[in-house]
Amino acid sequence: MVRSPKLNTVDFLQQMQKMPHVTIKEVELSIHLIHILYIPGITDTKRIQGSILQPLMEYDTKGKGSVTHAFSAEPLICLEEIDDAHHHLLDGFTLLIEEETLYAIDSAKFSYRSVQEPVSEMTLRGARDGFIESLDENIALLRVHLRTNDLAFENFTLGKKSFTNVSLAYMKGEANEELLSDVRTRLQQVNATYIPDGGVVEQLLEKNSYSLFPEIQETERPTKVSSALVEGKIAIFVEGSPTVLLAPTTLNALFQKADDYNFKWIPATLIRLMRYFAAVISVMLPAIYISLISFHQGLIPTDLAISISKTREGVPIPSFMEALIMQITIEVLREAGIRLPKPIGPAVSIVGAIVLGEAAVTAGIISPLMVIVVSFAAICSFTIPDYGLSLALRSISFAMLFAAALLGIYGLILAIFALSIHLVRLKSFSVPYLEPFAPYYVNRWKDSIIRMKLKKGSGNNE
Amino acid sequence: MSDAKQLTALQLVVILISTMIGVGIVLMPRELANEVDSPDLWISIIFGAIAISVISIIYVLLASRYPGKTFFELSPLIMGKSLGFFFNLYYILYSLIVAAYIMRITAGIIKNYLLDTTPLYVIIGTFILVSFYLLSNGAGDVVRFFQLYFPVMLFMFFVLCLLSIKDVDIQNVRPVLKNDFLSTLGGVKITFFSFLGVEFLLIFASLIKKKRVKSLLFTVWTSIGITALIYVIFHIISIGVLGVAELKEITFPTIELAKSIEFQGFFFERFELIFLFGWLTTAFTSFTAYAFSMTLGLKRLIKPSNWMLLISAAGIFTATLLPKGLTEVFHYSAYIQIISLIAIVALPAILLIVSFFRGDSYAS
Repeated sequence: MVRSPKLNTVDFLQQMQKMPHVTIKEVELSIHLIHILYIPGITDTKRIQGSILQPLMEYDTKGKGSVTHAFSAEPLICLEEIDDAHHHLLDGFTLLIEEETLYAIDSAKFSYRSVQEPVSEMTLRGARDGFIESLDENIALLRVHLRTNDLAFENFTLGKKSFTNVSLAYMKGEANEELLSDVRTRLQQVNATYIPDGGVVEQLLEKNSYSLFPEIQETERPTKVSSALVEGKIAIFVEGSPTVLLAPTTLNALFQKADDYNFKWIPATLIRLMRYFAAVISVMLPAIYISLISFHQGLIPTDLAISISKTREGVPIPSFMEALIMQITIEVLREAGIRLPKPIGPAVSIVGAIVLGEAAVTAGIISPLMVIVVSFAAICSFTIPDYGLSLALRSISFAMLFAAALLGIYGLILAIFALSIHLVRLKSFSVPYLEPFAPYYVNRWKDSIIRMKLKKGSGNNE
Repeated sequence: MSDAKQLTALQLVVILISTMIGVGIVLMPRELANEVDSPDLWISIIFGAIAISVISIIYVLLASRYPGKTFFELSPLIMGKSLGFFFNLYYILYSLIVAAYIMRITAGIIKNYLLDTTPLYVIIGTFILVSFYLLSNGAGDVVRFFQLYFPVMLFMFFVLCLLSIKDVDIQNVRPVLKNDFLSTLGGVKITFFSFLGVEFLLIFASLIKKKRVKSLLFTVWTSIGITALIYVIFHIISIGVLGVAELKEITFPTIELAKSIEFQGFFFERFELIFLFGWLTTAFTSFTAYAFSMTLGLKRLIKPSNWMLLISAAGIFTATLLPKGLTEVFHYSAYIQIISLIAIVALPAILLIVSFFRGDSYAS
């Protein structure tokens, strides 16, 4: 980075006087004149009054020497470069010019929403706090759950125009040094003009941009971040974004939910198993169904085959097109449901599910069994805890449909192989995506598909 | 933890078993029934396992004398450049032929049971395409894929056995040891080849760290033992359900066995679908292992390039389509057995003997 020119306070002051949004106050002290600069919208004027102006006045009556002695509690930063001064001013700091030197005092007050429960990651039990858009506040939220000295932070600034602050958090002694340097270099290599949100940082850090699967996990829950840090993962906080990025991630981690650890281990394990099962169903069921009825009717039990053929009587389109139409309709409904305001959203799904589905069946365009198959697959896909993963699996279910339409069950099995090969090849920050199943880490199986009981005297590992 | 640079004993066991169990499991019951013609034909499998265990000592000795060296690196080292070249060429051809054989049988079964109107080259082409997708990125992926599907395969066999047990007629299995010993021993010449795949100890050698002969031998023998156990249980159940007379007549007895399972009230009622998935997995892993060995050999032989993958894929594709029907394939299997015997017994044995005489051991 090119170092910006040295600060000349007189020039700087003149330059600032031309800026309409910067407020400049002159404070006449007995020893010398002091200029105070700040931007009203992003600073707390009460704080400026109470912790800057008031101490200055008090100091004037009895103090001597530099004004730096006036402030006892507030940290005072001495700045020497113009760019630094600009950034601090824009970060909500108040600048203090005393003759040749320039100091900055934190007086920021940006508008943030209050801490709320994250909408995308609901839990039944457990902490309900969710990250907000403030980096400092988010780190404070994390500290609530993780009060240890070992928590380390490293700061980066990304974006040539946005100057977004990015904080990298890890646990000393837990996080792998190789992983850390990998994340660091990837962050330093980011060459973007503008960083709107955490999701953008995620994509800029990813290596497999052609893969559907998320290489970095996103979360809005401080508890999730804290337990990931304890496991030795790295968290990336982005200023202005309520999503925190966790790296590395594995497929197994994406299937886990905070709630898994808040219930007794046997039901929690059963629910976790069911989630895997539901994910497989959501991807495979429509494809299995169309491959069975269009290629291998012989494999369906006779009674079932008869009832299926009865329901398909009079349906004018081939079963593959039928499935495709239904799948696309469901995707459209889902997207519409997200975009619409809260009071209308459920109405659309009722119209979509009952009216459209029912009418399509009565009109004889779609067979009722297809409606059952596709809607059950859709419901199953809602159990996937991670939205990025759910998007990936939804896209794959279409590929499976095509494979099944082309080569039946054989095509479907080959498509599963191809998908497994992709997953086997995929790595998130040089950790195999399918760990601990391939390669085997047998001692970690007790907290992967199943959730073994917590050991007495040890905390949970989410 | 990043990549499979070195295999653990468990991983090696998984690879060897995944390679060994392949198309053999659907063909062997019939061939064995024709050869031995008695209910105790499963004893031949045990003899076959013992035979291959003895042969595997050669591989273990070679692997421990030259740690980290694959077959293709060993042969020029021991036999000299030109002779080693021929050894490698032979081994590549052997891999090609076995891969094509596995592919052809698999395609035949798929055509027979699932896709009777789809042209054969489509079935073969898609299979090879997926397999070479796995190969294109090196051994690490192959190892991880094998690990991922190993439990699937075991689970499938377990379920198949569990569901067939109620159909087993104990009269079919008896009498044991009625036959004369010689005819049981004659079955070895069939069962021996169902253990093809142990030689992959020398192919995945670059991933095996230097181990003592004893521990390596233990790993290999464990793999052979587990495979033999699966085969024996399978054959006993096949005989028990179908009977020896029927075994001799049916082309693919194992699939018929899966087909015969009927569970009233169970959604699928017919179990062959799940069996075909599990079995296709084993065929896929075996095929991929041989295709991997072929590409590995070609990498040694010619300059490594991406064309090499394409050439091997095209080679296997062509070789697979050569025979006209399955009967012709079965006709070839006798020749394939001779080719395999040279590749997995004669060549390594020569290598070992010559290396003993030269006295040079890479291990230092």
